[in-house]
Amino acid sequence: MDQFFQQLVNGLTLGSLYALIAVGYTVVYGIVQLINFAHGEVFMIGAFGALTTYLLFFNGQTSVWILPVMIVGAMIASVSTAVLMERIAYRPLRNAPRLAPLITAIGISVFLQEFVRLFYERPAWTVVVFAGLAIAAGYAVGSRQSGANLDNPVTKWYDRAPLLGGAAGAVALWIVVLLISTDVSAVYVVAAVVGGAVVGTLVGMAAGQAAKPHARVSINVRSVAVSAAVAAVAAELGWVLFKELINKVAWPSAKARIPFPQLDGVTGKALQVGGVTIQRSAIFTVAALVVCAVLLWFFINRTRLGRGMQAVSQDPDTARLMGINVDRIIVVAFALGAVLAAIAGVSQGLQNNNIDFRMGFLAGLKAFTAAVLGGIGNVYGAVVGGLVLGVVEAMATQYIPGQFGGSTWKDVWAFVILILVLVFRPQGLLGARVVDRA
Amino acid sequence: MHQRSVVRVGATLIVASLALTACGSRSGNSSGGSSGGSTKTAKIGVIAPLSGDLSALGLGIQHSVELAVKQANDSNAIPGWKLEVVPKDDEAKPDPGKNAATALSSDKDVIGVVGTLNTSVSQQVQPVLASAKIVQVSPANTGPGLTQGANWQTSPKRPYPTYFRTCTTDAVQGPFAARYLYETAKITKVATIHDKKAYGQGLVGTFTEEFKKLGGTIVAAQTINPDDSNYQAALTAIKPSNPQAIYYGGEYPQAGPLSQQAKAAGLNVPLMGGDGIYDPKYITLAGKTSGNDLATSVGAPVDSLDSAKKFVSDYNAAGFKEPYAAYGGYSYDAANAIIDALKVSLKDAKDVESARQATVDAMSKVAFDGVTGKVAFDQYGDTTSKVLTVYKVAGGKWATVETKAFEAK
Repeated sequence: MDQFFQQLVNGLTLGSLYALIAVGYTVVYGIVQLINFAHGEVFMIGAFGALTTYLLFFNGQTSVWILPVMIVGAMIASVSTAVLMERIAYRPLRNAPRLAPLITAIGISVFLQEFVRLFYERPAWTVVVFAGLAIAAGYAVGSRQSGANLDNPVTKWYDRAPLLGGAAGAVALWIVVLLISTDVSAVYVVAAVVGGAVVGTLVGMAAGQAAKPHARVSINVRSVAVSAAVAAVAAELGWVLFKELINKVAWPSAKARIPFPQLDGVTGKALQVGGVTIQRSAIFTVAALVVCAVLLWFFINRTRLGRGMQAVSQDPDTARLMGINVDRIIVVAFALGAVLAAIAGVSQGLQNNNIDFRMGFLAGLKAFTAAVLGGIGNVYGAVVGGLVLGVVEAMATQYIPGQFGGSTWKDVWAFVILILVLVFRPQGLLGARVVDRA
Repeated sequence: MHQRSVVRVGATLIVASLALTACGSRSGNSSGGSSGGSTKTAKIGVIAPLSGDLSALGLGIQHSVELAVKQANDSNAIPGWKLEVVPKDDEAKPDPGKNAATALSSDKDVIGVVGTLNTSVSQQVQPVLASAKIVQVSPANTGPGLTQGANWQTSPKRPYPTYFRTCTTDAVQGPFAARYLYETAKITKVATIHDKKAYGQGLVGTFTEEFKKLGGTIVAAQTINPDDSNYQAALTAIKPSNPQAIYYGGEYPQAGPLSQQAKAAGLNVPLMGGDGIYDPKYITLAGKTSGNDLATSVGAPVDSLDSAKKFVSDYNAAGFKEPYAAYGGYSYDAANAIIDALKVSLKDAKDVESARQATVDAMSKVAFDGVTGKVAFDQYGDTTSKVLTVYKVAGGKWATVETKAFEAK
């Protein structure tokens, strides 16, 4: 009997992890009818975000109070990845055939894996990311300042040219300055920022002149200057951050598994309840799922945004007519999934005490199975599906005897369940309650 | 008509090219002979990963061979002959390894090869070198099948008479661990786990056989998937049988987390593994609770032996850029074994090719005191010295527990 309860505990732990990730699949599917196959990588990046936070600020410490900060770090990494992903890979394909975003999803998934593998080992390359982010920041602020509509379907790149040119010019000057000297003294910083702003403005105006014959809107010099200045400041800020923080940490190689920090209280010696061993990290995982489920219920049913999500999932066109900003709702859906995936990433790190850049793939597939099992599009279904899948997996390894038993077959049983569900009950255990078109 | 002309042109081309290559090789040969003058040249190839993740080990092998050859040339060990090292990169992959072997076997001056690092690469290299009768001595392959055939446990049969090695095999490593646990550590109940790969499965197989023979019991036998990172299922299955130790067949990326998770799940027993887990990375992955975990590894720790001290100081004096790494001592011994055989086979030989068979024959009679202990080969080409060492995690490092020669009972 102890064996049974032990496997139940193991299954529920595993299931909680699947459930946390599965919600991300289901929420996005419920709203845009897209299976975001890169969601497993969002989970992986959450784990790496937590580890990065730990290495940057708390390396070597074991106090339990680090955990909330690590979770916040994980959330920032996951949410920004998910939001960027939505903006770059999915939004431009919103009206494309269903297959196109599916293919980008798989592409993004591979891209993120390789990105983490390459960049985690060589933090020097993050300078490139900082440069890109600085240009993006300059462009974003500049476009807000100009007030012009830069998303004209025909001439958008000509319209954007002055602002992008301004930001890129500032960043280019910053790169040149860095190549001459990597000093971060005050004089250098001021010179790089002021010089960047001036050079950026000039470049931006030149770009504007060049694009003028094709552009539909004209951008005033002030906006270009603002964009250049913001880009210069952002680039410099990024460099200071890089110098002070990133460069001082000995980053582990991401090619192999990386040990996850061990914290007092959540890892270490397990608790004994009768004959059943309960790991501390398992308690954390299950508790995280319970808290998240309650908050999720509250968010969906009791807040404006949540109700907006329900409305969009039922009928996006009518919801738009009722004044709901559908784009914003979609971003919120991606962010919501990413938050839960980040928590799952931290839980998995604490449980397995190691993470690697491939961990998102199988976890993502299992969570997808869980989402389908519960009824894809149904948030509560995802939670139930995750728990059921985890328990079935644990029980199958225990009670299927002989050749086909044992832990090596657990993945086989998980996907056998997926096929059986798709054949006999395609709407899943709870059916699709949130989305009624699936 | 048209077809016939094609055939004719083709045949002409083939004949012409054959004639040309024949000319080329003949002229190359004669020029080599004439430039050599009174001292003739024999080449010793090295096939090892000289680039990529394992290049630290591979470059250590290359430099150790270079050191041995340089010393042989300096002392004029083989009168009338000069030795030369030809390093080839196998990138730790079978196909580049096979290409390297083909390139070496087509060189008429190559008499022997030191390599490879990986058992899987050797499987491709062996037949190529064997067909050219070039002797191969590996400093690092531990797969028993290389010397005793695929059915090495039941009916050992030597597949290639040209293959030798200076390190001990997994066939000895498993039983050695079993004896340590049963006889020294007084442990009678052990659970085994392996990752279903050839190395892990073989290790657990030989361990189990010996442990049962000694009188111990294997209370549980589990497997894991090499790609997994959560081993709760396997550990839960093991736990009720209350083992006193876990023996793991596999490598450190899985073994480290496995050890940590076992302890977190309340299985407070040492985990033991083979040379696949004897790596500093194991301890970082297994965390603070890994104290008392054990590993076996082939040979004695190089810096502890008197015979190795001269090698270490010579190596450092030679000014190589890379350290001799884990297999430097074995590579030095492997090169010296070849040189020892050449003293017999090259003495009266006219050219390298005719001396190849004699070298293979002489190899089986080689016997001298090397860096890693006594160097000699048994009827399968395995080293007769079966020295292994047990290491234990202590204070975040691998510490030597005991070094012993394994004796078959």
